[in-house]
Amino acid sequence: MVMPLSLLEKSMNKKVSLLLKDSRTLEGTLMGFDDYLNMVLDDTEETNGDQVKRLGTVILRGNNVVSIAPK
Amino acid sequence: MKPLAVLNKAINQQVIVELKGKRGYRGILDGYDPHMNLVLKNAEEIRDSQVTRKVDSIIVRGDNVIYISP
Repeated sequence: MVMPLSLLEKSMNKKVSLLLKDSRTLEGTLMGFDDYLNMVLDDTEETNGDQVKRLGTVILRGNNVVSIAPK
Repeated sequence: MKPLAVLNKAINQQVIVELKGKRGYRGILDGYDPHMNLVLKNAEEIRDSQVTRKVDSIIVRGDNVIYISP
């Protein structure tokens, strides 16, 4: 069994792809996280439909997350 | 018959996870925690009953879960 937060720990300093509740996706390097799944991402790219935005560093509030896929 | 005990028995089995917002996942349950955050492996992401992508492993945040069906 792999607990969710231990998989996230293994994804530190790696690229992750996030799906958010409003169907946005964020892709970036995971620099940190906490028990709420708040996250710090680096070199972040936001995709909303076919619109792509470069955001750099982002502090994401965990309650917006649907899923996290390590890349 | 506690929910998390039943979920524990589904470890390493194929599950269907139905989420809010007409989303879902189908995959092998690899782990979970008390928030019902899940780890799925070999998972298919489903949106409006269509498979949108396949991933080796994925963490699903528990607050989106409607039900999990082993």
